[in-house]
Amino acid sequence: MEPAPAKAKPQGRLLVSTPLDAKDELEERLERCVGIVQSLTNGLSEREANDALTANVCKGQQQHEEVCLGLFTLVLTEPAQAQRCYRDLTLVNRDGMNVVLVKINQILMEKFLKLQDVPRTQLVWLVRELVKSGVMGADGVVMTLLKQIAASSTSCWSRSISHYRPFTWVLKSGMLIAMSVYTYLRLIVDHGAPNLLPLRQKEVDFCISMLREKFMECLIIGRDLVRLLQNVARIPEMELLWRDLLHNPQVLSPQFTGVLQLLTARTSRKFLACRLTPDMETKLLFMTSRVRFGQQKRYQDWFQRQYLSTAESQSLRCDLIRYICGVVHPSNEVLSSDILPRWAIIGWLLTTCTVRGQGLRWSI
Amino acid sequence: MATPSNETLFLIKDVKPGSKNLNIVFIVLEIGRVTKTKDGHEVRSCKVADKSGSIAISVWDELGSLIQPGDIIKLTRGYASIWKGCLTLYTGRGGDLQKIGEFCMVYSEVPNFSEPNPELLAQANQQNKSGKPDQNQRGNSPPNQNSGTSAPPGNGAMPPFANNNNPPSGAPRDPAFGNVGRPNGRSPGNGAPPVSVSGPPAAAKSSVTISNGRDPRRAKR
Repeated sequence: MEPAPAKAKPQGRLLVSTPLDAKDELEERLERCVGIVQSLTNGLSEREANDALTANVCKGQQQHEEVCLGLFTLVLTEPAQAQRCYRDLTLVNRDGMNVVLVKINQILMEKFLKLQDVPRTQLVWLVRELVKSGVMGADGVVMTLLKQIAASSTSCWSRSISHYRPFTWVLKSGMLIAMSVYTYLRLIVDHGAPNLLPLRQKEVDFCISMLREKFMECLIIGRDLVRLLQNVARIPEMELLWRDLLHNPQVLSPQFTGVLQLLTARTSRKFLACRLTPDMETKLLFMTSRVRFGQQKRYQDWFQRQYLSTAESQSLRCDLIRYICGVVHPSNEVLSSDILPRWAIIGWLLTTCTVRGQGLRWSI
Repeated sequence: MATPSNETLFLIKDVKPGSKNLNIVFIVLEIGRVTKTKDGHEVRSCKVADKSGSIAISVWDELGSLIQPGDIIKLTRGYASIWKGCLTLYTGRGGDLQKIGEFCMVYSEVPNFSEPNPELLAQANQQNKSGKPDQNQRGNSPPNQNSGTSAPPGNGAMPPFANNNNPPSGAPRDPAFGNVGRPNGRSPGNGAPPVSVSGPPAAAKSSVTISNGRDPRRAKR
């Protein structure tokens, strides 16, 4: 018996793939667009190239999309040309960068973990540029990016992303400020290891500056802010903040009347979902909506193996439980069916924790 | 040999020994140990499932090392035959295994269509002296092995146990062997080959499980 030889699949420029992975349609599309752009500009001077691209873009929506996505992909895959391609992109784009934002969102939601290192770094750079240019809708993309960062806090690359200083971008939007403070306050807890302390200090500095200068925006978070601050209260700067919070609220903001005001403010589901990557959410929602009670063991094992197998990841359990309680609201139809109930998932999360006495804050 | 449309998706329950050109989407439940073949290849037997049941698939070399439990995989141009008494899927020539997703697929682990059948195992030991199933069943199933069969010999399309007329042993059996081509109680000489190797499963209506009191697994089309 001879094995059938595996079909050779050329590695794309954007995503990491193995011979097992099916060809990625998005990647293929984007690489086709690169081909189109290159065929239009090959051998031309910068000026001529720009004219050629502009002329093509005017031909119609499809050509516009192809050129924009081609330039976008070049930004991701060719760092040396990124500045120039981005500039070209801003010159030829006719829809307020919407076509690019949509693709970025798609990549962030579906493909982020599979991005190769260069495109990933470039993507973060590009998002920064978009925010700096004041592109409308860029903050939505930043939030998705933040989510990915928050949820993968224990992986090496995300630490390097944090180094990337997303901090200044966020000042443009109250929601972004709230999201980043929520995210980084959460990350601080996970970054207690000695080798991560410099990183943690940056996160602390950022959070303190936001809390002290933009407190009313941070208030958007709601009562969960108190919980988050409790978890970091031992840190000196945070301790000082707590004193003001409790005894001197006006220092933080004239409109802030005190902790009670914070405690009575509900926290939006958006924040609870912050710590979960889109992939985690997809899988949890799949479990709570499609998997029948009694059939869940394998799914639990797979989820556990992927997301809950390291010592650092045990703190994720709290966030998952919080998410299930606060965000997952099955319809009556599902509730009355034999679909896996939420209490069963929570039970699984509680009973399979491998770290004893971690002081997990189960308070919800 | 007429080939079915390459895009027709099959369910695991419709797989029979000798089935060819199988396109199936399944989720991987377990990966077995690696074994080395005589010619130095690595093989893994994986348990995979869709909503209709589970089955074993043998995967060679690199692909086998990449597959993970939870992966949702599309098999194209696969085929099935009996290996050590168990119905097993393989990737055929020109076929492929491609991961198209993970986790989000509902499946049923039962019935397990690769449950070993001792009778088949005995017959397999008689027939497959090399110990390896052939990629196509051409000439591999001397008709006299199948007692009472009316299947014409030598058409190359008959898997070893097609038309096997052995009556069920009386004890209820796991429906796993529904696909093995045992008659479902109709007269054995009905002449219709239970399995058409290359034809669509629609042609294989008569191969049905040994009855064990459950619904006979008729190939539903």
